[in-house]
Amino acid sequence: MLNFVIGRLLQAVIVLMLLTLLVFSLLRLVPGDPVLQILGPYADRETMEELREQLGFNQPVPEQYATWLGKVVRGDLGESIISRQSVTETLKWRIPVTAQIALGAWAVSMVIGLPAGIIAALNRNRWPDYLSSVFAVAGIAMPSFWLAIMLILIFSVHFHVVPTSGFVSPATDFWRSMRLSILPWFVAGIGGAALLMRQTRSALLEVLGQDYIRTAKAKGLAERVVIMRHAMKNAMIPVLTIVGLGVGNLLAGTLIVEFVFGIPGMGRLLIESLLSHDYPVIQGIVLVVGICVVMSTLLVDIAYGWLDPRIRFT
Amino acid sequence: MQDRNYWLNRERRRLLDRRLSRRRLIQMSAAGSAGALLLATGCGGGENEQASQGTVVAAGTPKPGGKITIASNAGVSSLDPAVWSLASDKYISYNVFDWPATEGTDTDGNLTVFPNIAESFEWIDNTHIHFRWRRGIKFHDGVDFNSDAIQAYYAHVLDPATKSPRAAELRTLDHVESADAYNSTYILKEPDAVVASLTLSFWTSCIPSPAATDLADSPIGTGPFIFKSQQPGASYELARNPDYWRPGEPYLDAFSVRVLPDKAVAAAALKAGEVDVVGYLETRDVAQFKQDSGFNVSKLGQNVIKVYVNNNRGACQDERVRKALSLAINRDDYIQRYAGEAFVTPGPLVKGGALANPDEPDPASDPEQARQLLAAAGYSDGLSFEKLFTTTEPTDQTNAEILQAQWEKVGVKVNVEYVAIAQAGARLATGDYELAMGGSFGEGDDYELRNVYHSKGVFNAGTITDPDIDRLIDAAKLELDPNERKKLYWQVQKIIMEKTIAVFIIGVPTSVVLAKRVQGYAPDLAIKGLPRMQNQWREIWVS
Repeated sequence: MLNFVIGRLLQAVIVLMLLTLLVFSLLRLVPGDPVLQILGPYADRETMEELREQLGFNQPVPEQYATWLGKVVRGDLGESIISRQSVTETLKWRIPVTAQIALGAWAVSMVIGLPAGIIAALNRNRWPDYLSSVFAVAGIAMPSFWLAIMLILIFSVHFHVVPTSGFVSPATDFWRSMRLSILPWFVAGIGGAALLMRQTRSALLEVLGQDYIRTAKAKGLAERVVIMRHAMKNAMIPVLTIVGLGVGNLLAGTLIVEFVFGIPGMGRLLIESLLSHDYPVIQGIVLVVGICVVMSTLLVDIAYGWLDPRIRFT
Repeated sequence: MQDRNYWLNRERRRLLDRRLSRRRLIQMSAAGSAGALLLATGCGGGENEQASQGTVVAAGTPKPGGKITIASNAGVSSLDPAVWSLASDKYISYNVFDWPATEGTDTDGNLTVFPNIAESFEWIDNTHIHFRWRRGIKFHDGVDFNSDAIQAYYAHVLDPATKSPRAAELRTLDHVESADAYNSTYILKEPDAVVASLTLSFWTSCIPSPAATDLADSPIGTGPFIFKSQQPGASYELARNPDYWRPGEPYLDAFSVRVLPDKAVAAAALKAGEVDVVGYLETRDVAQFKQDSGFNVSKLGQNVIKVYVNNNRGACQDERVRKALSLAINRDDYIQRYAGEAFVTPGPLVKGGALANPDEPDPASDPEQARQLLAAAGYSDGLSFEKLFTTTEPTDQTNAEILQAQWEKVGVKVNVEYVAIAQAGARLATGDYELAMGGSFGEGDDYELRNVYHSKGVFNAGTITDPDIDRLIDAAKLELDPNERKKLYWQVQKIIMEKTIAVFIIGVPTSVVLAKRVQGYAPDLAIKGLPRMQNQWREIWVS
């Protein structure tokens, strides 16, 4: 297992390097000029050239990438060209904000998706199954920004149950932070819940049709024991794939939620940085997200071995 | 008919130049407001009409106390005035800091300078500007404001290690020398009358305390509000400066800024009472708030919708074609689209702006003449442009569609290409277009005229080459008298309009929606006799 993990980590380094190289190159190809963005209406040609030289944009692109990579290896993600703040320091306080939303959304998707999928599978072709299917289609089809605004209009503007938007750190005011997070968690998690529900239902239905399940029932075991002890463990393998691969989707989902709800996480920072061509910040965020996705995939692979002892790590 | 705000404005002007106790200030404001209200009622005007015309939103006597929340569409790039680069920074910085002076127009419409923390400002010669600083002002940390702070700030800006965008903007500023604590001279590398407006202004010359160690997180200025705390990227809290050097101000105890990037959510927050001021709503949302008696809508600034024309490419090299493109436009369609609030603009120096020429005629609309000009230019069978690019903003998309339909009536076909707003400026700067449609904020100031119409302008890139325009803009840079400089710009505008260097469609006021309880707001336009508020909230109060 140790060899497996080390091998995967080495692969991860190569994947991340390729990812950052791709993003670095694409950013330079996208139309737009960060220097013009910074100077705005007071720009003139000499000033722009001076600032370009100051920021290192007049160097060849491979040289710029090598300089950036050299800093990254030393733990320095560079400096934002807009705020002049260290990208590492900026991300240090942005990551927990995104993590709060992402973890809450993940919890919502698990709490709604798993039970809904189990209920649908156990009540196949009956009304709980149909209801779950409607929920699944709606959850996948509804754009999250539309759903967010609808929920704000209903629960905040009309019923005044929760605030419209905003963010407060739990350390500053825990209960206000929770109240502000309810709608973002739901909006960010509902799509994942719908997918999880469908996957759980399919996987469980397949397992419930197996001979060993019939045997377990014939032995007189209670249905709950048959489901939870025998069926779920095997059904969870494909479900775990969805959960693990969904980390990337989850982070993408928080991007829209953060923008709509005014939450100062990594996702909103990415949008703002893209609009202002703040290359170092964009590269830093892509690297962090890449690491998250790679690590989550690795954890999923390790979890397979725990769920199914037949799986050997080679 | 007498200006219905005459008494209010007269009192404001007197008060700006004198030190008064808070009690005296409130008494005089009450007298002035009562007079203004009397005149307003007598003339049949109401509060909302005042607001929509762009005058001060005011009902009743200013009273101290209260708190408001302002929505911002983005977080702050930096709280260090040497580093900031986003428009959203102004909500914090213009209230924490002060700047030397504010440009505006006097009651006769002449450009003038309203003193702020500078008591006076004068040109010694065309490379030396002398400032005399106001005494008795303290920073929020108790340090006295004097020329030490000026020296420290510009040293910080001009230090290459700061990588300050201000250094680039103030590139003709060589250094600052101070004869004593209250007299400083700015020394320029070359004559540049235009840079003086930057040295006065909020954008480049917000002065921080020389003792401040971490301006990026803890800004310390002399402004009406003290920076208290932030949830970075989400909210910022400011509290009243009890020792502010303008007696009686500010009225508010505190205000906070909430970052709400999504316009629909900002509108919802305003409706729900979570914020009190939003200045970036969509036109349709503003229209809804106008119908709501719980809100006032006032002007924020102006946006000039125009078509940039590449004068050196294709059919638009012919002046007759350019004239035809302008004559073919029915500007009433656009004015109707903006519910009558838009206006025809006679060129880059928009009506109501500080540089406006009241005698410049509006561009004409005459589709028949447009067809004749196109025929004379050899396009009697019609003319096609490969593309006109504009941004993906909903307003720009609609404006482009209207234009496309109007030009089609005179036989001009154009494909519209939509680019992200963040890329539009860079695309303009490449010069790689035939036609580009967009808006610009402001009244067509020195920098816009230079950057768009001068052959060396950043956004020109070979699209406009007119030696007369170059000569006049170069002369304006050397003209120390702002009113004479304005007249040079009038000549530039005349050439632009006579030769149809660009096609001007309409001016559109941008709006700010305020909760009814927010009083004392004045639009950020050049209102005669008043300095521009520049988003400083010292005169705001809550009813």
